[in-house]
This record gives sequence, C-alpha cells and structure tokens, in this order.
Amino acid sequence: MQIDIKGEFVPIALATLGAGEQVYCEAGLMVYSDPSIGFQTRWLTQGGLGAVVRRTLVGGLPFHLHEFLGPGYVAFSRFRPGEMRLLTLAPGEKVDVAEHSLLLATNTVSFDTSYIAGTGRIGRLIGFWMDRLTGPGQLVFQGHGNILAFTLAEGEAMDVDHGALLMKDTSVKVQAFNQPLGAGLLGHAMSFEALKVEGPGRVLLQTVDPSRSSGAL
Amino acid sequence: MSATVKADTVGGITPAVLVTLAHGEKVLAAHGIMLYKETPVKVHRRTMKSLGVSTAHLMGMHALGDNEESYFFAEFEGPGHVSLSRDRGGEVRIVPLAQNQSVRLRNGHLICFDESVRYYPMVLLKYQDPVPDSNGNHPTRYVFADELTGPGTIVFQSYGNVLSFELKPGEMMRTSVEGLLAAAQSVQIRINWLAGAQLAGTGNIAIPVLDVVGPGMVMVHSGA
Repeated sequence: MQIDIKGEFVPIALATLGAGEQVYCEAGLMVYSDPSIGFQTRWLTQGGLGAVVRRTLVGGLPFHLHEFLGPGYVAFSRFRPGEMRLLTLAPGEKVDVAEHSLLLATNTVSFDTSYIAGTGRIGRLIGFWMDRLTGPGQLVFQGHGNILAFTLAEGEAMDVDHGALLMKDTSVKVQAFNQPLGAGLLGHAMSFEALKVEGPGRVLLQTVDPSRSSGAL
Repeated sequence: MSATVKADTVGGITPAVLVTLAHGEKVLAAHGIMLYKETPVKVHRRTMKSLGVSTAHLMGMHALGDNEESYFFAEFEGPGHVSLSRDRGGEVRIVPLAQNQSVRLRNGHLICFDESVRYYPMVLLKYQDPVPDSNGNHPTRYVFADELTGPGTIVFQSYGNVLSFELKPGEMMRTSVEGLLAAAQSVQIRINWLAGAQLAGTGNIAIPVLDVVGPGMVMVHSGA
C-alpha cells in the first residue's frame, strides 16, 4: 500500500491499494477513486448501546465508518485548509486524534474512542472524545491550519487551549482545568477552560480552533 | 524588565505567534486567543481602565457598534512561552515602535503588544452608507482602529497578505474602505466617493474609498 499527501493549502491523501488491502475513514471524505475499489460500511458498536448513544448523540462521533477495498486508488480530503500528517504505528502503539481530524487509516489500525472529562462548568458540562487508534498500520490526519509538534519529557507539562489539541500519544495525560483570568472572585468568574497536558510523549497542536474556524480561512 | 517582547511567527497558512517572556516580563493579548502556554506563565486580567481607557469611552465605542472592544485584556507574565492565534489565515507582522511613534491599526487585527505600549481604541472615520436602509435612511458607518504608541513591540495579523507603503509628504494613495490595515498617526485619512453604476431601481450609488495622504507608513491587506 502506498499513501501520499498531495497539495498544500487544501491537501488530499491518495491511497494506492493492492488487491485485498483496505483503508477506512469517516463518511463523506472520499474525493475520487478507481472504479475497481470496493466499498462497505463498518458500524461502530463497541461499548454497547449506551456508549454508542453517548458517543454519537452527545459527542458527535459518527455511527459508522466507510471502508474502501483494493485494488486501485482512492483519494480523501476534509475539504478545508490545513496541514496533513502521515503516521506509521508499530504493533500495539496507540495515539489519540481529535475528533473529525482523522482522514484515513489502514484496516490493520483498530479504531476506538477515548473520553476526556470536562471541568463540569456551565458550557463545559461534558468533556470531549478523541479517536483512539492502535497499530500496527498507517493513518493520516489533518489539522485546522498549521501543526505544531512537541515531545514532552516525563512530567513535563504545558497548558493548551481546548481547540488546539490535535493528536497525542496515549502516554500523555490530559486534564481539563479552569484557568482564572486574574485574582479574586471576578478572575474566577471570567476563567476559561484549558487543558493541562503532561508528558511523556508526543503532542501535536493546531493553530486554528475548529469551533472558530468558520470563514476564517 | 525588557522594553520589547520577543515574538516569532510559526507556521504558514494560519500562523501562530510565539512570545518568549523573561521572568516578570508581560505581554497583553485579546482574551480567548491563547493557543498554549508553558505552565509557569501566569495569566492576569488587565482592565482597559488600568491602561488609561475610560469606561465611558469604551461604552461610547460599543454604542457606535465596535463589538471587538472588550473591557479587559489577558495579561501573560513570564517566565516561559505563550503562543497566540487569531484562528485565521493571514500574514502576521511584528512591528517595533520607537518612543512616541504611533500606529493606527484597524480593530480586530491586534494579537498582542508589549505592556510599555500605550493602547487607545478610536473612531478612525465615519461616513454615510450610500445604500439606504428599509426606511430610506442612510445609516452612519464607522471605521474603528486601535491607536498604539511606542515604545514597545506590537503584533498583528492581516486578512491575506500585507502590502506596505511609505508615503512622502503630500503623496496620496487610494484604498478601499476594507483594504486599509494600518497607518502611521501622521497619515491623513479621508473618505471619498467613486461614481457607481447607474441602476434603474436605486439610481447612482457612490462607492466609498479612502484617500490616504502622507507622510508616513501605510499598510494595506489583500484579503479584506
């Protein structure tokens, strides 16, 4: 299998599949494909009905994924500007990718979700989900805007805006907290939710907050 | 404490600004544009009042429709790095201002500035909209700006690319109302009108433009 990222401003990921090779993505990301490519739907049922309802109706994750079966070529895009990265996972290696950022993964990569609790404050009563991907295999994801990469040492921490977190190793711990804006009661009243991200492991950030990206590019 | 903040831009399509703060050094930024910061960087609330901008002036700006204007800035205090992003594409400029050098920057473009910089939001100009509203009136339109006076560094972002000009005394250029990004205080800015197309329903609707007269620096942006 060959995966190439083409273009810069609004890039595509082009997968060239051998016979029997398979990639999957969220629904609606295919741009074009070889007529020889087979197609099927994979339902995301892990965790039972309660988990599915919570994940999909509350968290906004998809009910199903689309699978594409070789031989042939198939191209994917999220139809928006932003840097793309191709990642190769070793067997058992796990990463978390921000929801709606995964472009494609090879069928050997298992797909699950991980939940990061919110602070429970008004407007952030629930946390958010990330896609948990486990190797072996390859995956492509896309940031909003540019991607900034960091490798945190054991215990090294940084404070990250909610919308900036794009990808992390599962060894990286993430905890939501209220960042006061100055001292006193008013400072707490005007606080904003941020994420304490602590190593060891890789952290990738994106320069545009997806919730504020409408029309920004 | 250093008089100027060390700022760099990171990335191409949608650049972020990376500010490096020494111990006790401070930078002021619009609230809600932090991308990340190192844990030792403290966050404070810096009211406009503490910067010499009265509440009455701010309320007046709001009443005229300047919705970008907040009553406070987020103040980041070093040591450490803080990264800021306005969540959009466009060139970022880092401009050091000399003592008493003033720049008028269109509102909504400022990313951060050194605490030694004097900040004052203002109405750059106003004009009557040539297109009447449903009552047949021509509403007044305001162009808002942030006046920033050195010494210190200011960082701002355009829509698209920035085109810079240095006008000689009396030299004039014409820009669209949206196209003007920044101008030195010494630059005069006047509203002018171009004859628009003759339309059957509305008659001739003139097009507002800006006549910008030197001396001084003018910045125009390509994606306004």
